[in-house]
Amino acid sequence: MAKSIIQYVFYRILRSILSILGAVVIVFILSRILPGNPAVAILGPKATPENIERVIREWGLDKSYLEQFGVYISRLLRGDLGDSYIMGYSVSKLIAERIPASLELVVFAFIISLILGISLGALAAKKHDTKLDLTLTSLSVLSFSSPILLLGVLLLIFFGVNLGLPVGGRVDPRYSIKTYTGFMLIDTLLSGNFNAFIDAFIRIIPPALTLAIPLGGLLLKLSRNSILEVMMQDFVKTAKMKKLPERVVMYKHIIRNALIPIVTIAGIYFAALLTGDVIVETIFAWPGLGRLVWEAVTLRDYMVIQGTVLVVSIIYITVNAIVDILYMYIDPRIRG
Amino acid sequence: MAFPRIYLVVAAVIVVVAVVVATIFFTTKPITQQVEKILVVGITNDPHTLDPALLADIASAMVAQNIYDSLVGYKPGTAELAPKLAEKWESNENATIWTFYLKKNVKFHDGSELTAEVVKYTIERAKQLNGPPSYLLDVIEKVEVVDKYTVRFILKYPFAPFPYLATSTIFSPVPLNATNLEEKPIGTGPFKLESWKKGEQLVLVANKDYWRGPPKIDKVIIKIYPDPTTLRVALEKGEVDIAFGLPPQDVEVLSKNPDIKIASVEGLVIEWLGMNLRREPFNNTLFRKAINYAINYDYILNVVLRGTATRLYGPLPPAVFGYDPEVEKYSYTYNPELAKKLLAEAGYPEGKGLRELELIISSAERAERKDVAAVIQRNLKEIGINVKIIDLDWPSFLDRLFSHDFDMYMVDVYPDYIDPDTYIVSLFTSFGYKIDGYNNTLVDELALKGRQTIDIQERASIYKQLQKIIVDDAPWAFLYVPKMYAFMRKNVEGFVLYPVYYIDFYPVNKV
Repeated sequence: MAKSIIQYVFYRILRSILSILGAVVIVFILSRILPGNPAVAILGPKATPENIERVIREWGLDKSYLEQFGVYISRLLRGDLGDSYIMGYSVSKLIAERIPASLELVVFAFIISLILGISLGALAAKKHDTKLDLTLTSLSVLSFSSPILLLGVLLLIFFGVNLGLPVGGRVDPRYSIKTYTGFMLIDTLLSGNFNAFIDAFIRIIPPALTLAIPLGGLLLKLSRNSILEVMMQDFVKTAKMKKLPERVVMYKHIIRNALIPIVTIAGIYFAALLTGDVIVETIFAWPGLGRLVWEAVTLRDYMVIQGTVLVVSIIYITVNAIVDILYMYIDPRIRG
Repeated sequence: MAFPRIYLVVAAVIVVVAVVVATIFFTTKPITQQVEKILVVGITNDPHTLDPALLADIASAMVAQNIYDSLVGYKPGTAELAPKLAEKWESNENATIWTFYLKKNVKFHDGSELTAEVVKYTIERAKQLNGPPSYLLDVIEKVEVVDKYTVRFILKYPFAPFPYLATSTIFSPVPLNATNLEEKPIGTGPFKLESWKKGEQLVLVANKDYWRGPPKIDKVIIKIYPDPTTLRVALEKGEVDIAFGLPPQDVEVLSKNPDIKIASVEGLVIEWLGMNLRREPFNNTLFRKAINYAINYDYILNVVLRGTATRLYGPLPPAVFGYDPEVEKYSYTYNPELAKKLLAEAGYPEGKGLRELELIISSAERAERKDVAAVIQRNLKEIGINVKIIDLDWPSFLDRLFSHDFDMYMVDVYPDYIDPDTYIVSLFTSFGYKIDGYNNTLVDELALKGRQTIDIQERASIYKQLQKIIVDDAPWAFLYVPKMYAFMRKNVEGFVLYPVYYIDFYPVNKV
């Protein structure tokens, strides 16, 4: 038993390393297949062949792809993600600066969608085939099919103009908040500026809702169906016949078993959200990973593209591993 | 457990939210007028680097211009030269040797002094770093220190517009042995960089020891709003004091807002429709003239651009030295009948025998370009020319432009220095960018003569001739000159908009 677990873990780690390596190679090739290069992108219409050649030579982009890849890998093995061509400083620093903003927004959005999605899903399942159920499931379809751009702009206008609340950015620029953790909600409290905390708290709501509403809708539908399915199973009937209190049946027996598919989807979504949503980050002036990648692609800043994709794939794989562990915890059969 | 945990969690969340909402309503007051005067500036692009030797984008230049000083500046609100770090300058007779006399007692933020040695170092360092804008220094053979405050530039060839070139950020002095300027800039300018959160904001603080006296505001916060809609909302709510980079369609809406004032100035950027003269049918001047007459310029200016741009009649925008107003009389105007006639004369009556032509653009870089291209497509269709618009991302567009893989393109360019030389040489001569494949030995000759002539009258007459020749040859369809805008709250005073990309926060005050 124990041996097989170790074997499993070993196999998983090996597979993860291989997938990361694959991602590194693919992104290296893809970013160089794109037409144009960073010298062209930064020089614009002034990118004469002589100007391009000069900048490209300076940046080492005139070497063969194989040579460039060799340099990249050897630096990578020393834990160095390289330097941005356009900005001149280190990619790891650039990414490290953006991760807290992304993480803060995603965790916030994730909590909202989990609470809304699962609780409303359970409610819909409990009252299945009633008007309430119909309303909730229709709303869920509407929410996960609403385009994020439209939703974002509507929320921006609603919060910013109709409610007159502060929107855009992480905190009012006039508060000078020192960076301790990079998480604005924590940093504002650590600086003892309660007004700034409130301001940051209000500002995170509309972008978080933009991310949370589609995911919440999806989780609602998913958890409703999953809970309904479990409710029909024999062990639930047995529990009910044993005259266990309804709450105990619902939480100990039904939801726990219904959670498994939800955890899978939620886990994948969490990782996907964390890699950044360029639309939400653009609309709400949120300095996250999504915009960093987007800008790097539009400027063909190869090192930044490569570095970010590497970090993102590591996040994906880690989250997947955590989901697997959660399975074991939730499902006694897997724990077996 | 009778009371399931999930209820506790939900209850806790509700309580927390309720408490927070309550506090929002009861405790938050508007940020009270602090003792410090803070100016919040909203921009739509993220600066890349603050090293003058490396920066080549507008957002970086805007920040750098307030941290560093250039050798030569502009008279407020104009593109005319004015002394800055250099008190005066002069050249030898054939414009190959330029001597600059520096202002004395100018200190860098680190306390070191500005000397001729520093200027020499700045230029040599930039040449050695070979960054994207280093081509601007190609004209310089070497830099000599004459005395402590006098520096001499020896040029490779005669170059009359050199003082204009010296306004570029790459000429801004940096202290000796400077390191990591891209993140920790040290200049002689009115502001110092306090902090920079990439993708989010930069904070500049007043340099109290500035050689022209301390600035009127204590702090400038430059905040990045990638979406112009969000920036507009922030401006309307008063979170932002000055906004740059809002699209032209916002001009109409914001001009009705009593809390907001708009500064505008005729710019120096030109937008044109280029053609590939290496290919059929564009190697035929009659065909190119037909296109020039087919475009409804007034419709583009009034309906699509809503008065946010003026017509470009020839190779030069009206605000630059040497512009000849005569061009407005002899250049092309909308005349579809004449266009049809010329098209027939070119050998394509009603467009017969023409393939579908490709017009490449990049609208990500300028959103209104897509609408203008659609108008041109419709206008050309009306005289029998079928055009397909291909909208590419910026680097892909440039890649096709420089590999000459296009029929037609639309782009704009910002001059490197405010002189007709940069427009003519880079865009129309055989020793420039060579995008269109336009070749006229007379243009080459006159362009060289123009950059070597010091006498102002003589120069003006050279550029007058050049405009006539180029308009006659019609290598482009000349489209428009976008106006430049700055949007600000009513309480912002002293801000002056320049026709050049020069954003100066030094004279700005908030009342």
